Amino acid sequence: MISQLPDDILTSIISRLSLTEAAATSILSTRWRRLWTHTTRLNFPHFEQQRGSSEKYMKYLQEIKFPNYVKFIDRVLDSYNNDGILTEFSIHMPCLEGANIEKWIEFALSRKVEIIDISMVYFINATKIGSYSFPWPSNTSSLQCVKSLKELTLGAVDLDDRDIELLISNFIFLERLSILRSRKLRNVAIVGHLGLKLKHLEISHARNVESIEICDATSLVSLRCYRLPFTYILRLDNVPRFTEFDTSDQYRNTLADVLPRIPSSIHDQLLQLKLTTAPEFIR
Amino acid sequence: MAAETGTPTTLTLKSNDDELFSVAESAAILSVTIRNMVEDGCAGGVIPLDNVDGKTLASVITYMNGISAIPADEEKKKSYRDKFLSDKDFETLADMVLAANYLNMSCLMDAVSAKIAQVMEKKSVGWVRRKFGIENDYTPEEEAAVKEEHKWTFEGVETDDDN
Repeated sequence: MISQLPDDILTSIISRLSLTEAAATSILSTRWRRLWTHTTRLNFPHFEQQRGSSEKYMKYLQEIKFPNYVKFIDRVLDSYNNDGILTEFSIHMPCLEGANIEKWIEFALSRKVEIIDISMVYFINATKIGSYSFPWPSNTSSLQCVKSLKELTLGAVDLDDRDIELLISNFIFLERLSILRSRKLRNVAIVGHLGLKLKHLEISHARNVESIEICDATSLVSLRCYRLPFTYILRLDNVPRFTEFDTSDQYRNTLADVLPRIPSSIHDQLLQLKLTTAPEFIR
Repeated sequence: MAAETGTPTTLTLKSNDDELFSVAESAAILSVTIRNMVEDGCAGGVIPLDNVDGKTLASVITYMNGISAIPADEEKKKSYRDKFLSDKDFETLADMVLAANYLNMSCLMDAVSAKIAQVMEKKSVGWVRRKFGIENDYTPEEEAAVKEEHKWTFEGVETDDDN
């Protein structure tokens, strides 16, 4: 009988449920009431909004739905058990005021989280698109010992060049880093970090990027760059494991455009080139 | 460790109802519990597994042999796991998750947990209580309080019309 299984096995099962389904198990019996607060995956349901809506709906989203959503996350974190270890933590929501993202990230890091995905979705009213700066926890010295984090995705969080440097030098066990829709990035340099574990890097939809330079990333296997400015420069040097380059540009991206961009330093080692383009540019 | 002649080492595992099973060491050490025993030199004779019955152990060994025959290809391993678990009933899954936990086989533990969770999804409270053998020991007042506290979770879950 499932009910005879010990708590840690039930927790393993609950961790496989969506967060809302996991919390719903609290109704089963007194034993189950707090079991879900040991779930190892805190993937919050995405903030949902309809498209093309009225002023009234927008007001509702901003003044009622969003504050409730933030309150809901805070409450889940408050009721989360104290000694738990997290594997996944993700939040997809619009960038509106009133959310203490720093606190959330600090919470996840303190639980030795392995995967973080914080993505700001567009709010329907385009004029109101905000952006968060990278929510560095107030006590950055605590980052020094974060060895758990393996995957980090940040969507529409405004990182600048220095933030990338801080990320790379603090999260030393990071294997996958995805930075999407960051407007402040200009010259991304990942240089001189010996022993870097980073295997997969994505920098996409960063409209102000001028250059990406990666040097001595001895574990790096793949790089994905989607929709970067046509003029950006890519430099790769001493990346012995690098084999995959994945690139896409909706507007102009032909083989003749892309090939010169690939640094000659890696011509001999590239095994997989993925090129996505609009149909009219396939020649 | 395979002997250099190419004959693989075989281990003998004993279930808690005294059934004996032969299994290649290379497959059996998917279990960290068994691997530790082998490394500690306890594998000379018979390895007793006090928390696993013969029926479950037979099933786990089928899994060990199946998954270790697949080369390092996560996709293929995953589809093997899915297929392996697809015809298992609830009681078997409960036995398997206990065995996987005892044998310290994280890949099987993960897969069975996910399978049980998948069966639970979108089911009514009454259905889960019956299937899992859970006795509702809440007083009506307590149950109402828990329901109120977790109101946000009950959207999208089927209503419980037969309890």
